[in-house]
Amino acid sequence: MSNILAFDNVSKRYQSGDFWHPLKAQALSHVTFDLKPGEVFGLVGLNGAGKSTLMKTAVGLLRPDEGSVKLFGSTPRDREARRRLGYLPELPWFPGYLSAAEVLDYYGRLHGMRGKALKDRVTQVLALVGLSAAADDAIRRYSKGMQQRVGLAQTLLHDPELLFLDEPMSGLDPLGMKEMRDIILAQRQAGKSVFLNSHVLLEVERICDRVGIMHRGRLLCALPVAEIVRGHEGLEAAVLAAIKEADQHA
Amino acid sequence: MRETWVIASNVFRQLLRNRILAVLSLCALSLIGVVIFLGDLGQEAELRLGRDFGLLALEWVGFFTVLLCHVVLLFEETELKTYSILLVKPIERWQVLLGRVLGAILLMLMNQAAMIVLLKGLSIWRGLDVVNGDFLAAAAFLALGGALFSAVTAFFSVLASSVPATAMFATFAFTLGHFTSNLVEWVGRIDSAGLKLVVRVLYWIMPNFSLYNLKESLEQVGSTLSFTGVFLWPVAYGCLYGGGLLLIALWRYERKDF
Repeated sequence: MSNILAFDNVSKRYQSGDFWHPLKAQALSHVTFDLKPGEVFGLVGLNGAGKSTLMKTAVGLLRPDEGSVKLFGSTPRDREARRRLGYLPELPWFPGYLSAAEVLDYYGRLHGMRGKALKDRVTQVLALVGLSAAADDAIRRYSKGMQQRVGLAQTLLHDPELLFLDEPMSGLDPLGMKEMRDIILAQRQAGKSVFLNSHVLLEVERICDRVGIMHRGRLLCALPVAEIVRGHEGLEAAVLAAIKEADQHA
Repeated sequence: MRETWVIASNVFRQLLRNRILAVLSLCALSLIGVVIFLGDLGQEAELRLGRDFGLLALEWVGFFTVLLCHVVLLFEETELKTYSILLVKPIERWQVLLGRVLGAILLMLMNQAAMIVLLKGLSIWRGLDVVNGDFLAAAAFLALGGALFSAVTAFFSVLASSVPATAMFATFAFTLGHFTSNLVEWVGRIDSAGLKLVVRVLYWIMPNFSLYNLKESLEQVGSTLSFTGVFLWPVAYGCLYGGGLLLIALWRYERKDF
């Protein structure tokens, strides 16, 4: 089966420092991996490891300095490729004076949806993420978890084939986490692919088929969950061991 | 173009509901209300002041509306990261940029139209002919200048990428842009060759907003503007200069990391 996302030796450096002392920080270093259709892939690592940078590069928000990224066989900046993906950034923000229904109406129209079909889909997706009762309330009255659900709703609105979820559990209470897990698993059941970043390793272990460990811009490994946790007491121990080993070899 | 219009109308709707801009719109209408207090002057002076003050208020409200629109949008883009969702949608970046420019122009036009309607009402009440054809022509030119300023501010917002820098550069360009015709006169009086070169460079790169200022032509009460040769050049200039700036901004925006 062909890969729907492929990173080939991708590197990315950020400008850091100030105007007088510009520095370059290595955010991604020679990352190579791929994502298969129907797969749920989890990326884990410490803060600043490069997880969000990798995801932003995959969706075309960042351009790699070296290497290439293929999304559905094309570049991430290709409009048709982007039509097939949904992206939930970390801590999404929406104007407080708009309602969830208005936000979804806007994004739906950008996907070419119109009229009754759009209205019905908005109602359906709001129900899916548990926001039906608050659909017409101003977002400024929403809790952090509810805003995260609006973010997820806009991700699912156009029924994408591939979901990119950056810290999807962020701001969610235990019930919200369970609902998020159920939605992700339902997407997998429907044959969709999911690429997620998370610090909630227990959820990653439960949801994902394959896990990648990032550290200092490098992808240390990308293996099935069972293989990564083999010989360790769970994913957390496996991740910490991999990072420790990488630091010793550095 | 459909997506561009969706973005522009959303920018307009979003800005319309933004508190800062609501306060600005109220200020704009209050400013026109000041005309009421000009009643103690003689009728001719009242007419002239009404026109001058009305046009000045339109210009300044246009400036603040456009500047604030772009600043608010840039703040949302850089600080609140709203654009990370938008730019992943199946749209082109030029559509996002053009949508911002058009949304700001729409809001400016709405503010200016409301001010003109209020001024017309007040002038009828005062028995004056402030809002006549000449006034509307001058107002239309100010709106053209405002549209050009929207392109200028969008250019700085993309290149500077910071709210204070954008506000500072755009205000500088707006201010200096009203004196570009004076720059040519200054060049003749300057002795220093270096300074002459700087002024000449400024003359060529700064937007010429004085082209859109017809206030002086209305100085004499009852004057009628002649549009032959006056109308086409500012429109062509605005399209060329504004279009050129937007192309440079787009070139940068296409390569920008978010």
